[in-house]
Amino acid sequence: MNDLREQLKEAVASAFSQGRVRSFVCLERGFYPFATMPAILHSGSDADRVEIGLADAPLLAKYLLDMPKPAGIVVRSCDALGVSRLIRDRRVKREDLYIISISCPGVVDTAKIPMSMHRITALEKAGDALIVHTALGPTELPWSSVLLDRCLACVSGAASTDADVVLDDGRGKPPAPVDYSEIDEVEHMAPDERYAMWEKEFAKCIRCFACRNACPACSCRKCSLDLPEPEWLSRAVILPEQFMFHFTRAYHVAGRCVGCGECERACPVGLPLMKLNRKFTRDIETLFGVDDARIPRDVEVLGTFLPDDPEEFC
Amino acid sequence: MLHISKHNLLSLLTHASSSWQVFCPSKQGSTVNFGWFEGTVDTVAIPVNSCKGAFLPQTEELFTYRGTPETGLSLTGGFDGQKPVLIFFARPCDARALTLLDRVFLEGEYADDRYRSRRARSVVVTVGCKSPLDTCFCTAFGIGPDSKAGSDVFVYEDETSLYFEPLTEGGAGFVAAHLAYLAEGGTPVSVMEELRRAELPLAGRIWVEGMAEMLDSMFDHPVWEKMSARCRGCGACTYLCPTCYCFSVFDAPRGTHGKRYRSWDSCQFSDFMLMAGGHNPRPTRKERVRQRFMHKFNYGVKRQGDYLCVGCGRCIRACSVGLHAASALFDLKEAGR
Ligand code: SF4
Ligand code: SF4
Ligand code: SF4
Ligand code: SF4
Ligand code: SF4
Repeated sequence: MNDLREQLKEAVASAFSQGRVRSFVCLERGFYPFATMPAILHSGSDADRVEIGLADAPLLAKYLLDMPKPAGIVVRSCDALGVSRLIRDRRVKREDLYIISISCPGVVDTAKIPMSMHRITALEKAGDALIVHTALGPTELPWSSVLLDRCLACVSGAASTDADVVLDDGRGKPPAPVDYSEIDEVEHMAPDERYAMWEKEFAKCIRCFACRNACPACSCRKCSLDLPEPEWLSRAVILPEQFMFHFTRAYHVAGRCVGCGECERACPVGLPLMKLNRKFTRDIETLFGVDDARIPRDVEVLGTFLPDDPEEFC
Repeated sequence: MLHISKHNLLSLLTHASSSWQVFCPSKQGSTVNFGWFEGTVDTVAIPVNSCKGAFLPQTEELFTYRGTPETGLSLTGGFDGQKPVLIFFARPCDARALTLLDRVFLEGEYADDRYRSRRARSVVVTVGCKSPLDTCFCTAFGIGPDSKAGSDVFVYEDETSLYFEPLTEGGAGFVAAHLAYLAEGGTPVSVMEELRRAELPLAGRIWVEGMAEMLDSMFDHPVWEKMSARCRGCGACTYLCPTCYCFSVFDAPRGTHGKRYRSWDSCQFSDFMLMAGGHNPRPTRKERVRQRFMHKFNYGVKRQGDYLCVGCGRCIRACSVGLHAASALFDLKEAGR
């Protein structure tokens, strides 16, 4: 693990020294002992700050939009999908990027550790367990019980191969089995019951836009929902506007969502946004016969028009 | 001290809700949130949002207008005296934050009618924090798990019961109106002692003394650039903060009629300061993040006489990239010394 970090630091430093990048987005130590947070580096001398991100690692792809190019990024596979999304949506150019991909055993969600962060002296992954060290001694927790939700649906923890540097220590998380049971549950609800559930969830939303702002598929320079004129969405947080917002967001990422879960992780009031996103992903897989619709590809089912399409255009 | 068994709390609240609008924490999906009482209450968790929404709703309709050049304009709606607000289980930081909002909305040249009317007859019942979170640092601001500022009734909680200590006339009135549910006797001495001794490890890392003066000369400091680089520009931190009070007023026109609303707004949004003609005095995240923390730790002290932060930690829990009051105070101190 530490090894990987040393290699990563070196790779970041040499990207700067070889003049490959003007800026680099990576993770660094956060304010809480084991959390990590995004850092944008502007010089190779900052490479010491780079962390792998054992716990609470935010996804970084979206930062590429505003960074001076050429821009570097460290990605694990879920983040690599986000980068690929931005490239295919023509929001960044591959040749302006310097990608270092790393293998990933999963990321710990410190909120799932049932003890005070302030009492923890070290976190350690040992096989299939997380060992939480405190002054009172170590506690062992099953690795899968402390992972971020996104890791429970991981495409693959192996380092992505579309990268300028691939750092894989062979300890990447195996792909998670596809599990749509949560979506089945919602689909099997009676329509009124389902409507009531979403009404309740949407009523909770404070419309802070954290979900949109975190999402690599929500990359419009000027979001239509922010436009004062025409005003598609007013600032009123009333139920019809909540439906308007949530349908717009979910439909706009349908077919482009990479399933990274960063929207749901960013939501401060816990809206189950992945239930909407994954419903679309599954529909695309079953209706169009696509295998794993989270993975961006050159021909996008919802982004392609064929002149000989059997259906009318609209 | 008057007390109630926790089992009977719901009947007290149900009774209270006939003469009060009760604002309380309850489980909503995966989180516990403050909201209007709908038959359930959660007395354990510290809600993700604050109770400011009871007095400054996220959205409220100011009036409906209707008219054409021929018929002229008519306005309907407006504010009528509703039932008084009962906050049932604020935390000491929440109660203190309300006193800071009062300075904004009640003092000075302009008092806000709606805020005043909701606040005037309100009763704030605060519970002492027996299990502060990892994110709590109220003691850095001179508050603590047993602080009473801003509360009308203070509640001590032990395993089975809640003990009510009225602090104001309004609080005494509330308690008097619910005597049927309360039993006399006992003082929760050990709970009081526990609250007094409670330690907040996070507060030990935070330094507040002299921050306002230090920031006077840091407006152009490079630290803002560094801090703001990771900000995603959402409104999570400010919307959930109990002392953030910015709002905007806008119309929703529908042909010959429409509504005028007031809604929360956030200095972290890119269009917050956008002006007609397209000029934006705070064009990048650097200016916006600086505004947020300067407002809390410098302008607030000058204008309202105190830090506009109570160390509740809500922004810590809200921000997905770890940019919050605690990290800011820490980074600013490092940068300024
Ligand atoms: S989803 Fe996979 S690649 Fe992404 S953080 Fe989790 S385990 Fe790592
Ligand atoms: S992050 Fe959550 S609360 Fe904020 S706008 Fe999105 S769904 Fe609503
Ligand atoms: S909608 Fe959510 S899961 Fe999908 S790409 Fe955006 S942030 Fe990731
Ligand atoms: S500090 Fe965090 S919560 Fe606040 S606007 Fe920035 S990203 Fe959003
Ligand atoms: S700035 Fe953060 S800690 Fe301070 S009062 Fe607001 S939400 Fe609470």
